[in-house]
Amino acid sequence: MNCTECVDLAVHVLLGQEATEIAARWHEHRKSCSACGAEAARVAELLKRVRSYDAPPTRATFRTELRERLTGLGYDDLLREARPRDRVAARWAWVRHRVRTSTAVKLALAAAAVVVVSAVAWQARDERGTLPGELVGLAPAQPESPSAPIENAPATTPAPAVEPSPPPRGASRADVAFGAPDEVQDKTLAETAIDPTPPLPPDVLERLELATERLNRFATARHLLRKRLRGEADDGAGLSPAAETAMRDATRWLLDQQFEDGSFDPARFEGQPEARVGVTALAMLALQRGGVRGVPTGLLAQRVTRGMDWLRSTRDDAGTLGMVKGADAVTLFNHAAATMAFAERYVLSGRVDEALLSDAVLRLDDLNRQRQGREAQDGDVVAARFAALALEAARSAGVPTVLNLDRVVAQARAEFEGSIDTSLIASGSLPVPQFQAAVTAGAIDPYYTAAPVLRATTLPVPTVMQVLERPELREPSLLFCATIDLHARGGAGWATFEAKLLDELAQTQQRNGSFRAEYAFDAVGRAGGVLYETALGVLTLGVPVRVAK
Amino acid sequence: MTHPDAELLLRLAAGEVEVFDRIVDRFERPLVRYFHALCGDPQLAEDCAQEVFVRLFKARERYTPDAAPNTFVFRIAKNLWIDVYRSKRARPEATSIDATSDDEDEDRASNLVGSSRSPIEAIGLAEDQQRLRAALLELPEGQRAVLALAIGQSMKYERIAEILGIPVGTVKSRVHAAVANLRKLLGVDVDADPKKGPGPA
Ligand SMILES: [Zn+2]
Repeated sequence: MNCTECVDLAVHVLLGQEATEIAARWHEHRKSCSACGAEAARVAELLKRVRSYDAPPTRATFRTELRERLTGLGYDDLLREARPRDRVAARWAWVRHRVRTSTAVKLALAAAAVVVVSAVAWQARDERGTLPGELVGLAPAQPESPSAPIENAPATTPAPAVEPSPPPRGASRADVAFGAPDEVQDKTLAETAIDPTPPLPPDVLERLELATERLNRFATARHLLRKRLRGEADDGAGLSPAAETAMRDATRWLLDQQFEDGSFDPARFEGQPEARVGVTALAMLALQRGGVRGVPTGLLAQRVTRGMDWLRSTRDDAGTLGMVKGADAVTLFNHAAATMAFAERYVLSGRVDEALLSDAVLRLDDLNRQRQGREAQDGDVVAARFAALALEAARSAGVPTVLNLDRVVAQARAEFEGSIDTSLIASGSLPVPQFQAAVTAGAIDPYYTAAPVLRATTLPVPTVMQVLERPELREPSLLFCATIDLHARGGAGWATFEAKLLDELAQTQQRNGSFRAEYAFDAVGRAGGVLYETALGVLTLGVPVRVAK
Repeated sequence: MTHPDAELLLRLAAGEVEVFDRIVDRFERPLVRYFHALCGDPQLAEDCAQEVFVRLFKARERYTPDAAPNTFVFRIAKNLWIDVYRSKRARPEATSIDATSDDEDEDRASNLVGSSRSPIEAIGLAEDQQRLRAALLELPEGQRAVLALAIGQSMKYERIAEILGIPVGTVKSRVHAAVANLRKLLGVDVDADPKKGPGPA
């Protein structure tokens, strides 16, 4: 065992989490190495201190208050009724019954609950004011009255089958929005209406409450996002003329490469056919985003509709969009980029099939997990970046049926943040993988929530700028993330970076409008080719109109 | 061989409500301690623990022997905390550098301490525990949660992963990150300096 391993293991061994033989080797090294011995002592001291952290003695009235609350739930009655003789028999009968039925019952109830939740969720969507194919930012602005935010949905119609229990103290679900009744929704609810006996288990009710509460948050976030997109994209605010020109040229080039069926073929431009789905999805993101002047709105709208239809058609039985046998990283990239495109399309226009989007997110979680179980492959880093961006996009779109979406997003974020050695941040000399992780982590929050979160892994501005200075860091999706991060931080740092960025992109933009440079591509970038680079170039240039500071 | 806590929960599930008192005996302090580690507010921690018992009572029939008792109880606790945390009443952005709300928090905590605890305990809280409290509240939510279970409750990572619904690897990396952050926040790698803040005159 070397010193690095020893230091890494210290906290886990001291918490008794490591296997005996590993712990033994750790102790051996600690005893023989004075530096590690001292480090271990410091960690042990800290753990001891944290262990000592405790609440003051519980208040004297705790039990009586609890007893009162339980009385309201029939505790006293049950206590009186309890008949000692029958207990043992009843217990075992119950256990046997439970073992036999619990799984099936739980699954059925959970499924029903999920359907009801999604019905409620989709009722709570904002009005679909967008015309077919209309593009936000290019179309005339739709006035958004501040007095009618989207979370204030039309008339309320409580779901008939499910009456969630009162919220716990401290939790609020006062403003749950139910949509106006219409045929489809009534049908959904009727189909999922479940027999009132047995009642929904409390954990399902809890999740329902939680889900509805989340929907309100999502609705608010979505409202802000749309407002921003419309308001800012309309007059091109935030974009310099140079950026606007570069975006327009790249967008036109992209449009020229689209096939009749709506797809884009990376193999035609130095890429590989495997990335067709991912590249088409990125092109959709680039095209459906606002801020491009000089391209007819109607044409863009028509092309986006076609491309989205094609993406939808690539779904296989397992729900994967763009499955590539034997290429996990490219598959994950394809699926994540498509999920992102659907999520953003939903935010912008609502014209996305709800089941498709929520299935895509679930499937993304699966694919991501599969990747974690195997050895690292070329392309993983970029694929994981897209997965994280897609999860955030879906979250901000308010994907309704994924009750554990926050967990998934938190996991994605933890994965990035956990892989960064924070002690190296100040030095500005992070190794390439850590730099990539830190920049991605920095981009996730501001991009989709417009609320940059200060975190331990935040890199100094000059360090992030290395993305333009060190050739090994020049990867289009990383540049995209760095741009998001620095734009969100604003100030002089952003001004400096923006100038450099435009300069850099101007040098790599070809006469025909596409972007082409010598980047440090991994398997994903190589498969994506020039289309990948160009679509990401448009997205990167568009960050100022897409993301609020 | 059934775990004693599992036995209690099974008996409760089968209708022996009189064992509920013993369950409260068993889990009261762990729960209060857990919530206190999360929010740093003794009053709120006790309210949350009480609410867990109410939910546990309502959900008593759902306990099955295949679930570890700790997992069953702490999952309820975790879900409750999500609700409380989300409702924003718990800790209005205490992680932010918002001096006013922090001060209010401190005031509230010290009032509570002053009103219902003995002076000796109050002094104890005001020093190292207050510094720990501040440092813990600076941690990201996810890191605080794993610390509360790994250190505060001496749980195995596998159990924590079950409770929080995250992979074991994530638990591990969060513990690692949390400890690193705490060291920085507490300045323990620097030579221990005299405690800052409102020390005795
Ligand atoms: Zn050593």
